[in-house]
Amino acid sequence: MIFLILVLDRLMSLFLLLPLKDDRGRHRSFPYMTFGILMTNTIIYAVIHTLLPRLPGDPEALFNLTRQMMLVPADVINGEGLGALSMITSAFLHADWMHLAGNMFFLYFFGRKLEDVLGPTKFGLFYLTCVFVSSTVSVIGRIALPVTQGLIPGLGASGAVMGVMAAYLFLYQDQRIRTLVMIFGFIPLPFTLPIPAWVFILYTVVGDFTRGWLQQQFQEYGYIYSLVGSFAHLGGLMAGLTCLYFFLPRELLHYRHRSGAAR
Amino acid sequence: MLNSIEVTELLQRGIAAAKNEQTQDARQILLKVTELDEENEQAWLWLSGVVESFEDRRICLENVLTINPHNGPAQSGLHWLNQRLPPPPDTQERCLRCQAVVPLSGMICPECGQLLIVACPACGEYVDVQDTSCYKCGQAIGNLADGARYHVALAQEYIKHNRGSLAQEAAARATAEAPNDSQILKDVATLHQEMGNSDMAIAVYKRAIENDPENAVLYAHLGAMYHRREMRADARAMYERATEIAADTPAVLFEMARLHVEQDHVTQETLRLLKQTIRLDPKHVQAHLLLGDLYFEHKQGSRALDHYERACELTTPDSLIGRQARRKRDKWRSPLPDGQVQGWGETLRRVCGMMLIPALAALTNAGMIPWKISLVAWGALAMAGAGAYLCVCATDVPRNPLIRLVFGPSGLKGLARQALVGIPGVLLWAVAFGLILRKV
Repeated sequence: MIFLILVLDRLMSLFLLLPLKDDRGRHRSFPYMTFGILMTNTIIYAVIHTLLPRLPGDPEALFNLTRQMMLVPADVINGEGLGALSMITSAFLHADWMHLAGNMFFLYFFGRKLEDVLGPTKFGLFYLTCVFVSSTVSVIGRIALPVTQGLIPGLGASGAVMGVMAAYLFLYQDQRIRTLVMIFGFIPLPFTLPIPAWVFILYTVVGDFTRGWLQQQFQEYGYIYSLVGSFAHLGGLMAGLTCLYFFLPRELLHYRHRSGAAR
Repeated sequence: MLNSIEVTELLQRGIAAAKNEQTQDARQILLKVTELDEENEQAWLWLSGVVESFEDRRICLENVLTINPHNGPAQSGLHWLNQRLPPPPDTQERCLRCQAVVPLSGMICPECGQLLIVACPACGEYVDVQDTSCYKCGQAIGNLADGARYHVALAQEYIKHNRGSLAQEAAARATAEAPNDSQILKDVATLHQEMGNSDMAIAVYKRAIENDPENAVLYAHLGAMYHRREMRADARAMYERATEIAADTPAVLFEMARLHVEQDHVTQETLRLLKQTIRLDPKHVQAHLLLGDLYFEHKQGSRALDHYERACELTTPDSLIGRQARRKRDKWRSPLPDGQVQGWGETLRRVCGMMLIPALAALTNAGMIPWKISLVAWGALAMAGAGAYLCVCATDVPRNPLIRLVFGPSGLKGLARQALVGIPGVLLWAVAFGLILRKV
């Protein structure tokens, strides 16, 4: 069983799916909030990874500062560090530029469409809610892993981005997304595939489930399988699917309910 | 519209300006007079004295003599000009194609049949075929060098401006110009179709198919024509031929689906055809509308709405199909009752949305154990709740029961009232959230 899932996970990690285009037009002129979040993440990354290391001072102090801003499950549980604030700060930190580019690419694609439905303010609130829910699930999940004892810090906007993706799936499961498939993460196929939204997101979810499960299995043997925050991703997914209810316009909710009942 | 008295007044002003040597003003006024009354002899005569070039002066005087050949001053003026100016160039019109001399008022070259002038689709004024726009109203005419395309485009414009006979003439000219071009023939057939001349359209489609027997779109269009004439067997035969040739042509797939619908034979296959049409051509408005209708009939409202909205996005509100799309969408998306949109349930839903963040923050600071949340944090949560309620009242539910009780039945109508409630709400919420983050 573990071998099969390991093979599945390895196979899935060979292909990176990049959404390029869907059939939905947008009504609003400019996605201010999506763009704002994107710029904030980029600026914070640039300051922490480019500007601060060049300033004179103790590199250890810089490391400690950034570590304090990360989400350390053990610290949260023990009431140390920044507490809930670290959930927000960690969502704006990224490990490297690939991490940042990946998250921001997905946020830009799905966030714009969601912001179009919710409006900038509600989209901002929804994004923050996804940050909190995904971080909460991540804390609980990582604490449950016995070997690391919740000491591995978590960072990145992936959880919230996953929430945004899940909300997109909830709203537009019938959409087909023109997707560029990258083999080994960097070799693009010379054509794009029209993948249904639900397949696209299912692919990501299955990847997170297998990775999360393997993380747990490997923990039992004393190994760390992956540092990817699968629990945060799954938490984000949960947040996207459940919390969206509180933010959607009433009309949209009403008509979905009516059509759902008829189906 | 100015009457003759006003024209006379304008003329007097122009003459006065000319006498006072206000050349530019005089020219403008007199030009205006000639525009309003082309036969005004006096205006042309006075204008000849204030125009800038000898050439313009000659034109003015010639106009005077056209109106009144016995006008003495004009005769002597022209004589004077002719002594000073070189003789005018050859003013004879020549045919573009064969260079034969053609009569000035002729529409067609008597030698080769080439069109010499066309009627402007917008104002009906005749303009030279070499002109790309109407000199009078500025309407684009097209470029004669485009050949048959020029005539097709012209015919489309004629149809748009309800000039049916001119459109037919233009369509006939297009066919004559490119009798073996299947694309042109298809466009001409579409023109006949739009003019309601289905016999002619069918004949032209058949001719196009003779020239290009492997063109699936032509079969689909001919099928659609048969379809409209209720010649269903012929229509089906044409559609089947079209699908044999090209199974992935949106026009073919759509026409097949439409045939299914009109024959009351809607199956999964119909849905598949329409979905495939949209997949191949996401901007196919009619496919979106038809698929929306089918979903609507099958009580899949959300999907129907999605397709109607897409159709609305793809069309302008003033187009016929755009209006149809909007009518369908609005019929389905009627406004919800006030009790549902402005009731306590809706208010609670919105407040919960805003409370998730502070609640999770408080829980996190309590080490994920709810009963360890401090009293102060509970107080801050209550404060955040009050703030959230005020924010929600100012934005989403401005007529909820409590607000109606305080502010009257119109609720928080107007920016001032919304700000009065909304700003304290945001501040309360933000302060409470800040307190929670500070681990109170």
